[in-house]
Order: sequence, then structure tokens, then C-alpha cells
Amino acid sequence: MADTRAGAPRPVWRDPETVLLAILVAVTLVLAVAPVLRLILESAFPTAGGGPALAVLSQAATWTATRRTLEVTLGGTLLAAVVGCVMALLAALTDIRARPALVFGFVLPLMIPPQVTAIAWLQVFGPASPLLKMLDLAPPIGTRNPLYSRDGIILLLGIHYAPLVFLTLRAGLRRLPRDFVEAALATGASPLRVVATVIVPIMIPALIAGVMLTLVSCVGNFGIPALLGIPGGYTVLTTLIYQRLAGLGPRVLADVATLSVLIGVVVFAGIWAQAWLLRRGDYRISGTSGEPPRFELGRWRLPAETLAWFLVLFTFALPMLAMVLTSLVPAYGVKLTAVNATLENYRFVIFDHGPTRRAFVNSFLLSAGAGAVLIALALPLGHFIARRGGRLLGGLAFAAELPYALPGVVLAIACILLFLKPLPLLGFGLYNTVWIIFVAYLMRFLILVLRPVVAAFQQLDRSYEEAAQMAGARFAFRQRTVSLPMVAPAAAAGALIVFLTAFNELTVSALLWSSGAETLGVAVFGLEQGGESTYAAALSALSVAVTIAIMALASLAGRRMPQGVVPWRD
Amino acid sequence: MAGLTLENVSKDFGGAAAVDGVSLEMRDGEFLAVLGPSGCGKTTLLRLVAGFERVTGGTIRIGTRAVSMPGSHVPPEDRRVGVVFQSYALWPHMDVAGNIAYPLRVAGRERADIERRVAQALDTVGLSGLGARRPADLSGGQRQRVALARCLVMEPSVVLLDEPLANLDTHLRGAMQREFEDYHRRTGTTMVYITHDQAEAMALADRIAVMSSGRLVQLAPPASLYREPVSRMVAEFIGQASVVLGDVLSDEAAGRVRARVFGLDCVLRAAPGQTARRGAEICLRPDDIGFSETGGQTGHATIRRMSYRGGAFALEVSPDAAPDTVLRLGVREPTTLATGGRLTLAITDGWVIPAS
Repeated sequence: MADTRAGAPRPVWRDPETVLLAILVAVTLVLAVAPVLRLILESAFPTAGGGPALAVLSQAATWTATRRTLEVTLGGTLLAAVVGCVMALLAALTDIRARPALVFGFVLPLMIPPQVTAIAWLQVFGPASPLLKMLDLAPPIGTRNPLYSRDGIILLLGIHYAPLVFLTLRAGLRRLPRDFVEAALATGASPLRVVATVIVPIMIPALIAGVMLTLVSCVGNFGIPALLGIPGGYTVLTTLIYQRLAGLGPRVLADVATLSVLIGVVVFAGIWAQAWLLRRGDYRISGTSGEPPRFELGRWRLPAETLAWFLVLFTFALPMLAMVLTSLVPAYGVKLTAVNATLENYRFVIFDHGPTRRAFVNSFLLSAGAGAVLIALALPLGHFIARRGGRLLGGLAFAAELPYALPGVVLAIACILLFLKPLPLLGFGLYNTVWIIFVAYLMRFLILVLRPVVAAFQQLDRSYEEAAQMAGARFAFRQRTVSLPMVAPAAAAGALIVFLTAFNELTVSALLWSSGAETLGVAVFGLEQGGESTYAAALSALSVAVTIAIMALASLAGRRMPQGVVPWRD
Repeated sequence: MAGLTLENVSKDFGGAAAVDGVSLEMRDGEFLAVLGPSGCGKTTLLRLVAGFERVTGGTIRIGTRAVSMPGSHVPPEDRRVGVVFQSYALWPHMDVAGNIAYPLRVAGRERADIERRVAQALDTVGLSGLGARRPADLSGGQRQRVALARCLVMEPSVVLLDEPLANLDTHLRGAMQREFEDYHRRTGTTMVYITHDQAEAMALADRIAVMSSGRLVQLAPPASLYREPVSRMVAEFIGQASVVLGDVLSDEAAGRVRARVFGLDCVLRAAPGQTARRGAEICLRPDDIGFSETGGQTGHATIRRMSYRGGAFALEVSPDAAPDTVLRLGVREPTTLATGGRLTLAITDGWVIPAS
């Protein structure tokens, strides 16, 4: 009876799964490995014209920019680490009230693009500040905004990335087994002593991870040093590359490629240092987790809550308020009153100004498109990585991290190098079209969808798929009816993060945009650089509103998703 | 339905053999239990038969069709082998009826036909009217029945059960055991039942395959497995046997030999061709040893430990001739026996384990 079914056994290589896998591997190699390889190739054997690539390393400007990059990076990271640690300890280990709102409020600055953070903070200080003007504290016209300086950049980097330290550390603290703390308390140690002798040492890996992530992000940040440093003549590596390329065009490509590799080296030194630090100690945690321990603050609760809310107000509400007020003034520098407040700036950026209108449409389509394509790619790829494993697929999963770990400026340079000439065989080029931005987004954000999908597959018991297999379902049917419905929430959450990040993205598109292919980030940046601060503020306010709306939506949907899929949810 | 044949089947995982040269033949409609301690390779064996793993050596046939050999592998979806997973593997995003209907959907049956068969299957496993429930809303036993029903509708040639009762409460196990027996009797399907519980295996199976370290140690009906284990491992794994050393004094005749154990003369059962031998391994079940209490320090053995088992005591007894040996005996309450007490022993039966 069994013999009436499909004939002789099929050889392994005729498997449709294997064919699909080969295609996926090829696509991922192009997206994840090609840009990195191309960049390394360029700095070794320059093809893009200009002088010998290494000449750029002997220029004083290069080393000044490198030194300044390190200065603002270290300063910003230190600030972020202190603020992030305090908030993480308060939010994860104490009984303060309104925790979800606090977490949401504190994480918001991270979700707001750096260039918008910069524009918002510029409205807090300076002679035109609507806040200071309303309080009659504004410095006289012509005074330099104090944020146009090294310390201004450090302050903003610190505030912008404090949530990064916070999230990493909080995730680590939530895994802390309750028994560890209870065992220490049972020996008679005071809560403070337990924090110092048990919790902090155990949390070191999470802290190292958070700090390294912040270091790397600071090195690669473009929006903040661009808006604060370029007017102040304080140039870091990312802005140096931007200025060279924007000013002189593709003929300096070899120079900027070398600079990009320099940044890449700094970044990977950071990642390597993290791995090295973590290898040195034994940080494995064993024990029953479950509810994390919560210390009762008693009479210190109110002061702690005050501090926490002050941090949220200072890092988020204050600059946002200043930005919104600026977006309402009729002309920059005019004192805002109830009478002269106007929505004219919003009307202008939405309806009258062609580039910003285009930018909205472009950014929406680019980020939604990238999210959709990445879901389609990450679902089958994640399946193979989680189910088959092996060295090739493991290497691929690691490679997919690279374009995201690389600073956006560096990835953009790699894309220019890859796509400057028409594509072989196809005869058309992506350079100077919107498609180069799209491909760059696919490269950069692949990991944001792939990571949660792989995690979801790994958590999914393999027998669910095997049960479908035994029922006779073939690969495609099985994936459609069993696996996809079960990992879809994770993929959707990943795509949502892609949408949020890409919608406001500036760093990559600043180097890749062309006329007609502006993104929202480029539009905001252009308005602010052109001195149109009121328009820039209005456009920024709009993009923040969109961001918050989507985050709130995700929070609602997140209730039905596994824990940890939506990063800012408890 | 079809028989199942394994010829010298092996599976390596990175050099370590999980299944090592297993051969067995099941006739159509047989109920086979695969029994062994955890890590013995029994689950790997199941996954090889189902097609979830490829063999490294040997051949697996379902009926007359070779489904697994090195270099050629029929995928699980083409084997029509039903599997009841230990975790049940019911899909949480489908309701009960959806789970059961799945194999029929795959086979492209018509809607009315699917509905009829699903209702029939639900009825068979005693879950009529629960088709719209979510698996999460069912009890463990009910989930097990749904998993069984999902198997049932695909009319499999072979059904594999992977420790199906391991996640159930003790009182549910008996009920589910009867369920499997009924299912087997009704359908006459060839069934392979993986378990580490020897009582379960003895109660259900026509034959039991005992595995250890990836190898098939013994394949026999439950009674002969119990009475005539081929090795110390099987003897100790099945029932409460004590394996002790003794001298076989005569060659086998009519299945019996004379022997001397702990200095006591006795007649034991032995395999055909057993010859006289010193230091043979003897399998003694609790019922094989008669004993009576002696006063003072006379007698053959000392009671080392007594533990109450409800209505009876389990004794651990050390004979003077072999003080490191532990014999397990039982005595009903009330009893005057106590730890440290002395016993006179008489060996009434036993099995000489063949020399390997």
C-alpha cells in the first residue's frame, strides 16, 4: 500500500528547499558581505580616482577629526552610561510607580532621529529660543548658541544614547535571578550592599555591552555633529566625509573610502574590545529566574520618582517643547505670544514646499518597502539559520550584522562604490536614483528583522513543523500554514522597527540622495542648514508625531506578542 | 498498513553514534515498544523511521519500499508515517478541528469529506463537540487525544509514539494506555511506542526492543524479556532484579542447571547449551528467593534497610557470602523483621544470564 505513493527516493540536491536556500544565501551575500568587501578592496586598490588613498592619512585635518571623534565619543558615552545606569537601576530594581510610562518616556529620545534631537535642543538655548524669550532670559541677538561646540555635541550624544545603555542594562537586570538577591539579603547584607556586591558585578556584561554599543553609535553618529559641529567649525570623521563628498563629488571617493575604513577600524576595535572583556570573566548565570527582585524604597521613593521624571522631562519634554514652540512662531527670533502663534510653518512644509512633500512620500515608501521586502527575506532565511545551522548559515547571520554595525556614512560610501557604475549585464545604474537608498536600507536594516525572526524560530518547538511534515505537508505549504503564523508577530515587530528607523533616517541618505529622491531626514537637515529653523522645527515636529503614533500602535499590538519583541514595553 | 524493517541502521552525530547497527523486523500490525534509559538512542531511532533524520548507514523499509539509506532519503511528508509527539505539537493558531483536519487539507480532500472525517475522528477519541476549542484550553489528556486523532485521519502505514505519556499525571496514564490499546486493536496499525517506562512497555507491547548506548540489546515478548534477560543491563532495567555471581555446576538439560549461589545449592533456568561455569551472572527476582527469620546470629544474610511501601516492606538484604551484594526482597505487614535482623535464604528459581 505504501508503494503506491511517490516513486523512488529523491536525491538530496533536487530538493526545492536547497534551491531556495541557495537563492537566499546569494541575496544575503550581496546585501551583507558585498559592501564590506568593496570598501576593503577600495582602500587596498583604489579605483575611484583621486590621489593615492593613503595620502589622506597624512593630512592634519584627518587626525584633528579623528581626535575630535574620540573626544565626543568618550564624553558622550560617559554621560549616557551614568544617566542610563541610574534609570535602569531605578526602573528595574525598585518599586517606583508608573513604571511603563517612565520607560516609554525615557526610551523616546532614542527613537527620535539625532538630527531632530539636535534641532530641538538648539531651540532650548540660543538667542532665538522661544522658551527663553517667553521667560525674557534670551541672550542678545548675535550671541552664539552654546550648543555649537564640543560640549554641546557631548551633551546631546549622551542624552540621545542614554536609553541605549538603559535598555541593555535593564534587559540584563530582568534576567537576574531573584534567588541571588534573596540569598544575599538572607545573609544579613543591606540592600545597598547587595547592589554593590551582587547586582553590579553580575550586571557587568550587560553594562559592557551597552557601553560598547553606545561607543560605536557615537563614533558613527552624523546628525548631531552635523547640525552642531559644522556651524561651529568642529569637524569629526563622519562630517569630514560628508563635507568632502558634498563639496568635491565622487572624485574624492578614494579619500573618503580610506576615511570610512578608518571609522570601520575604530568601530570594530570597539566590538572586539567588548568580546575580549566579556571573555575574561565568567559571567554565566544559573538559577531560577522569574519575577525580578524589587527593592522597596520606602521614604526614598518620592525623591527617586522625582529624579526619574526630571530626567524624562529634561531629556525629552524640554527640547520637544522648545521645538514645537519654534514651529509655531511666525518668524525666527520673534517672541511667541498667544496672538501671533501660527500654523503657517506646517502648512508650508506639508503643502507648499515641493522637496519636503516629496520627502514625506519618499521616506514613507522607502521605509515601508524596506520593511516588506525584509520580512519576505528574513522569514525563510531565519528558518534556515535556526533549523539547519551550520557554519555557512551561522557566518551569514553574523555577516548580516556588519552593515548595521558599520556607521551609516561608511555604508553609504560602500554603496556609492558598489553602484557608481552601471550594474554589470543589466546596463543601468542605481547611483543618483532613489533605488540606491532603497538597497542601502535593505543592507543596513536586514538584521533588525532577521534577529527577532531567528529568535522566534529558535523558541518555536521543532515538532510543530515536524507534525506538519508527517501529515504530508510540503515545504511551502508547511511554512505558510504552520511556521509563518507562529513567527509572524516577531517579523512584524522587526519590520516596524525598520520602518521607524528608516522613516527618520539621515546618515545614509545624506550621502546618497539626489534631486527628486530626498528623504525626510535630508529635508529636515537641509532646512536647518539653510537657516529655515521654523520650517525645520515644524517638519521635525511632524516626524516626531508620526514616530510616537507608530510606537504607541506597536505598544498596543505588543500586548499580543512575546516579551521582548517591542523593546520599550515591560 | 505495512511492516517495518530496519537493516543494520546507524546514525552518527559528529562522530558519536546515536544509533549503532540496529536491525529488527516488525510484521504488519505489530505493536513494538522501544525501551531504554534516556540517551540510549530510542528517540533518534524514531526520528530516523519518521524521516526527520537521515541514516548514516543501513536501510529502513516500510513495507517493501526502502525509505532511508545513505544517499537516498524519502522525506517525512512522503512516508505517511504518523507521529504522536511527546509535546503533542498541536498548532496553537488552529482550533482542535483545524489541527485534525490538517492532513486532510494537505491531501486536498473536499470540504464536506474533511468535516465528516474530522467529526468521526473526534468521536473515536471521545472528544465530540470540542472541535472549536483551542489546544491551550484542553487538558493534557485531551491534547494527547487530539494528537492521536490527527494521526488517525491520515490512515498512516506506521504510527510512532514518542513517550506519549511522559507529560501526563499518573492517573491519566492508565486511561491513555487503554486508548492506545483500543486504537491498535481497532485499526490494526503497525505501532512503535518509545518509552523509558518498563511497566508501560510490558503492558502494551507484543514485543519489546531494549536499547542501550545506541545498540539493540534484546528484542523479545515481554514475558521472555522478564524471565530470560540476555544481559545484566536488561535484567536490571526490567523489573526489580538482583544480578549476583554464582557457579553453574552442571551443563544445561531440559532448560535447567544445578548451581551454587551464596553457598546455597539450587536449580536455575538457563539458555540451551549453557555449560558448567564458575562466576556466572545470575538474575534473581524477589519471588525467586524464599526466606525466614532466624534468631541470634545464625542464618545467611543481614537486613540492611527496610522501607515501607504501603501494606508491605521492601527489604535490602546482604548475604554473608557476598556482603557487597544487595538482594531486594519484599514482606507483607505486619512483620517482626527489623533492620539488622538475620535471615535464612533459599533460592527457588532464577535465570543464568548467558555469557556475552
